[in-house]
Amino acid sequence: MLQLKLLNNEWRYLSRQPLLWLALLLLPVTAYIFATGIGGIDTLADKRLQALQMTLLMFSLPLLCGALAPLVLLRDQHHSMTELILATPLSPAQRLFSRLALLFVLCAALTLAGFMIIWFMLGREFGFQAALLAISVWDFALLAVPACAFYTALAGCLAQRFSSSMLLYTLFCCLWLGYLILASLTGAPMLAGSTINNASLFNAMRLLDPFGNTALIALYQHSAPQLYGDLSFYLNRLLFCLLAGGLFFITLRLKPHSSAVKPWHSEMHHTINPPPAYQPVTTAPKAALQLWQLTRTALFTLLQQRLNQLLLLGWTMLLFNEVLSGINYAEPLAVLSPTSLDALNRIADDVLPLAGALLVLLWTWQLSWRNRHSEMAELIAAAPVRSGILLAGHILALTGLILLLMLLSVVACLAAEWLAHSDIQLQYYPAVLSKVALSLWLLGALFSVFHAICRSPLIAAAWCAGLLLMKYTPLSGKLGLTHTLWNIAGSPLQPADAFWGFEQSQSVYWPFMSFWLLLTLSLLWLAAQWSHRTGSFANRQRAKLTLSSGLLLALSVFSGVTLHLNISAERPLMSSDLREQWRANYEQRYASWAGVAQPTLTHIDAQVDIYPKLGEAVFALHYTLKNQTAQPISELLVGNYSATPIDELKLSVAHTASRDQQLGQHTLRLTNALMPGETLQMHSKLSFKQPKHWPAVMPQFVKPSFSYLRGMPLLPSIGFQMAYQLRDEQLRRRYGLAPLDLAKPSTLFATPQRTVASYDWVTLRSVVSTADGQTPLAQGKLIKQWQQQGRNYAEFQTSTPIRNLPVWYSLAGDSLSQQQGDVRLTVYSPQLNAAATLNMQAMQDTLAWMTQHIAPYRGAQLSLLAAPDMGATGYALPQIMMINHRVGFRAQPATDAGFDQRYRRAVHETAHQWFGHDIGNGVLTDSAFLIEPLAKYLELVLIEQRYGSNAMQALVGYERQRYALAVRRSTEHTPALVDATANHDLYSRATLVFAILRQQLGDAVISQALRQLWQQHSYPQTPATSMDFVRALQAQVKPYQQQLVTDLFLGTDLSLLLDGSSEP
Amino acid sequence: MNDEVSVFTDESKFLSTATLFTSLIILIRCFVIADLLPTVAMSRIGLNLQQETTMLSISQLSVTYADGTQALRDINLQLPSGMVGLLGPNGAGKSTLMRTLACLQPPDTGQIAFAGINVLQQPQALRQQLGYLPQHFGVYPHMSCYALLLHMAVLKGIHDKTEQKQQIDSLLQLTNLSAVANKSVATFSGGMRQRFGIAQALLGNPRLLIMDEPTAGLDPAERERLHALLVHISRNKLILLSTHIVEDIENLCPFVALINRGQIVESGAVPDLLTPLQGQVWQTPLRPDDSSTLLSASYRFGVPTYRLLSQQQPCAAAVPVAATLQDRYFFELSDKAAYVAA
Repeated sequence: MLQLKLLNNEWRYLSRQPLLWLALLLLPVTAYIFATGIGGIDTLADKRLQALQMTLLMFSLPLLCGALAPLVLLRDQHHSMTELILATPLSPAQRLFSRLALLFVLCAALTLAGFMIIWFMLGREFGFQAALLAISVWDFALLAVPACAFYTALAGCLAQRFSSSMLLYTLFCCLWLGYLILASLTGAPMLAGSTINNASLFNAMRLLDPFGNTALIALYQHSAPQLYGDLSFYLNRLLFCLLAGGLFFITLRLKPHSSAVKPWHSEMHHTINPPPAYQPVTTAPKAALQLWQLTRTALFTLLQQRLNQLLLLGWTMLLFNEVLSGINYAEPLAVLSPTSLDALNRIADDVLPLAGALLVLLWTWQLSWRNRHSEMAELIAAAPVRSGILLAGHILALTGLILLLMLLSVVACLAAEWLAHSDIQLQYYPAVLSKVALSLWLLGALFSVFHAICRSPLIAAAWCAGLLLMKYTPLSGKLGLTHTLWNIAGSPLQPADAFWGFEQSQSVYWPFMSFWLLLTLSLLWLAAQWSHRTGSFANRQRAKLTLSSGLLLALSVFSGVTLHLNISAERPLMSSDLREQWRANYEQRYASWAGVAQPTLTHIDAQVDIYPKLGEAVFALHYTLKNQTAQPISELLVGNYSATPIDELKLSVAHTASRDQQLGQHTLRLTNALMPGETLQMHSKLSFKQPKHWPAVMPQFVKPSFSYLRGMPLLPSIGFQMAYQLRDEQLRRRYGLAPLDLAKPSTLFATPQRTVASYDWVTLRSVVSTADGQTPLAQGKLIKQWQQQGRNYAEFQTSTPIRNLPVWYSLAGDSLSQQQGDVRLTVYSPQLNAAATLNMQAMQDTLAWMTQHIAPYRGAQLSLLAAPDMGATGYALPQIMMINHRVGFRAQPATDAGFDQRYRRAVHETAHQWFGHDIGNGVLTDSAFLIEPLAKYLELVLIEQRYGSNAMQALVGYERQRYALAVRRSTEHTPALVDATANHDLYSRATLVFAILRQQLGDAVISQALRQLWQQHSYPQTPATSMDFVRALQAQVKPYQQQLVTDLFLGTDLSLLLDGSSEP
Repeated sequence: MNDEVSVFTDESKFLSTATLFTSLIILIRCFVIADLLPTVAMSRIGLNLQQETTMLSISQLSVTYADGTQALRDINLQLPSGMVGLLGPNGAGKSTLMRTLACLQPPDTGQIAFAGINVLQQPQALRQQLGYLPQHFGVYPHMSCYALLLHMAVLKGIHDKTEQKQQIDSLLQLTNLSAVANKSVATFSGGMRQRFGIAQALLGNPRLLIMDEPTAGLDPAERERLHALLVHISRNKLILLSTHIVEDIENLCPFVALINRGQIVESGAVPDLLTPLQGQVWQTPLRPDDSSTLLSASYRFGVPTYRLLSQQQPCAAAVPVAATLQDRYFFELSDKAAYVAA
């Protein structure tokens, strides 16, 4: 009864604290945001529910407990009430127990509310099933309750030991961050990019994970995951219950920490001697000297604080560890010979900005409120120091701290580089770190503005937290705020890479940063006038906007509007919502054209002039369009989806034209209908300008070191483009589109039938020109090359039709060529090294094997290019392939790799010349299986051929590990392989399937099936479907092997793949 | 030279960095000029507020807090130079008035002029002549007494190194803190910290010294020293002393303002304030039957003494005594009508 009264007493205090109400608001909002993702019809609702609840728990509980703990446990110390409270007849144990109980109840109740919100959101999507509710209750009882008890007891223990709120906040933030790092290293499916780095760590975490997540995740291995835990899970929960009890016991025995400093008493005696005369001195305040004094005193006092010393030390160690642990990393099983750029890239885009922003947040808080916290505010505010100088002192002190942070970063990075035997390139340090430092400084200055203007620290902190949430979390995206300027105090600058430095995006940096700089300085100027003089004092000037502030703010707004106009003039501001809306509008307005006969594009004659330094490319295109239907054609729909409008559009026959400006579609009405079998010419001109306010992105960019212009979707298209249709049924419903009711390939093509699909192939002639010193490149055979007016020209012509995916390049660097039969193989790279030779070898091997076993290569030229690091590691177009320079040309196999990733990738991309660009196109609804899985098959064959069976088995082992991780992460029902579209199925599962097939059936059988597929379905015959391959394979195997083929391609039982016993 | 002082006395660095900062400040001042024009115009109005004999003029000053509490109501005061006592009970508005005079709390209405400065329009000009000791204050951790005084000296505009040292040494002596100059102020006892506060308030040459409860926490000796110091420095200055210890004001201040419930209930020279009560104050060891005449009850060695206000001898044991400021203080706080009736 007494405890209940005490609990109620504590609650009365706590319910008046704004931080509690903030938590009451934020946690349910977080739960709601987590649960708002759209699930597909194949979603495993129960697994998704549990994964979401685990995510909420691990993301929110340490922060929640850390935020509330000082409120509940340290309030006596904070409000100098300790002695009064200690003098009451309540025993310390009773008092502590009531407070810990309240903290536990609050954490548990808020977590339960979050769980229920997730359950409700999923219930709306999947139905309010009792099973889902049961899982929620079980999750709460066995995941949340022990975790809440543990964190509460830990908070109690820490609060008894330390009386600083800041220390508690910091420790819980470290616990939160530390757990996320551990979760990432143990393959937590909720964290993107996480993988099991170390099996021992994973096994240890099954027992030591405070949330019990790891032990549960271990049971997600199979398609029917075990959601209710196993023995190790229950042991884990028991352990944490015991730990919580133990910590509570320790807490009771600890003496409360007293922060009181023993007063220093002078031993002075009363004297009757008159005091010496007071000598006044003349004062003449000088702003510069005051500024200097304020700055160094602020720096001195902040750097004297133990917390800051620890943070700076931790910062140095964190960066050192981060750089050293990953400086060699290129990709799994491949390492780099590192340089300073690799070292800096480890930290410059995540650790430095994010952790740096948190430190800056702390420091601006300390700087802005230290006068108030140390009760010096009135003394300082009464001194003849202008408010602007007080603020400037904070800003300069902050600048000093950021410079110190950067200096420590340099030290940590250089030390790690030295230990890793990296090629130290000092010139990159200022180039990279100054950009990070400026961004941090701008953030810090904005935080200081909030702190200077807001008289309440809590409101200022809320503004700062809001700013950070908008900048670093998906919140802005969730709120539909996708404008680049929502990256506050930042720019869309991309990391520098060894291929071309900052060339991908350096043009964006200063336009954005100069705007933020101007805005920040304007706000600082305003804050200097509206400041509360570091002590929450009212300011008569607050409501007034002075002339200078008004002018500066107007200038900032003008600068922002100009920047916005420049951004949107170069490229429409598209979010995923807007893009979906565009596609929905396109379908609604033009779907009727799907039934209108349209001529077929049979030949493209292109003149492409590329100006790499100017960032421009000019296209003059001549299309040959043929009526291959049985009806006369009187109307043409010509469209372009890209940001580049068609400048000029003419037909060789009389016509009238109308244009849909919004959707970029042209309707051309022919005066005389185009009769079956007749052709017409379409001439168009368009130009591409490289945006200066956007980073270069695939699939078109023109830059001095590398220009890449893919025809799709740059070039005009003919007729209604099915590829633009929204495929997701929920999205279709949202935009009022009729359901597509797309059947899966295994159902759709279950029986052999003639599909209505056909190949979209063309012949291509290109004349490409570029600047002197650069190499023009396009698909087809090089017919001739020449120089004209200081520019390089080259003419290319395809000998036979190719898939309609034209592309043009302008390249700088070297090339390596070899003739293999009728095919000229070329590798383009900035430097020709051993990797270039290896890539060439992979192309040769693939070409030879495919020609010998399946079908010859159709073209006369095949090129492989080293491409800058822009996301994709490899990409194949007809006759031309791009491989990321970092992984394809700089990386080397790790000592324990077993096979060479460079060779594997080059084989894979070369294989797409058959699997993807020969067959596997033409059937829109079945465009996955015949592309990636079959390329993976070829990887197995050629790695075994070149490196032996062990290397091939190493690849299988690697893919099995990747697949197991992906299965844990997935919340979808497992589809049949021929129906699958997820990467982990198309790559890893396919590897495992073909490894078993090779072992059980042999390559001869598979090759024979593939040959049959080519004979029956290669261009210009009817395109192949995945079921055609399955049937071809079934036809080749013995009757007792047919079930295996069915199981592997059409079944969903993964035990055969994930069970090590089936290893070949 | 102590350790912590040395942190701040690297002259070469100081000057070179200061030069850079000066350049920055010059740039910033270009913007300031535009904003100063209206302020200069207002300051001319402020000049008219000053009266020849008045150093500080407060008129129609009202302050209301955000929660609606009216802390000051139509305060009007004309204060000469010298020491002025502000006397009032807890919550009367003394500290609010002090903070308002120190430009830490903007008033709702009213004007304040000090020696030709329109305080509300030119707070910076006032701050250059202000020495301020708040009722409660703290200190930065890890900073010695000397270093913190040096910090405040620079902020107050004492830039000459010799002057800085001389004045800080002198103030440390005046406040009896020389022996602990190198100790962290955070470790000082309450009285020592209060003396540090007095020292920092005296830095420079403040013409307006606002001291809120300066003797709080001081031992009798230090209190005596402070009294001597204040009397000594009060020439050509206005020292506004706020306290509820009547004795302090009686000892020091020739001019007193009594404040209650946000209003000045009486102000003037101390003798003038006492004149109306002379001959009407009585003292008796026995509690009077008629408590309506009772001004105060005090104890000496546990023996009660009652002071009564009456035109006639209120009881046989009562003897006439000279009126004191405390009598006037209690009289002003009490229900005057009751005395009149009595």
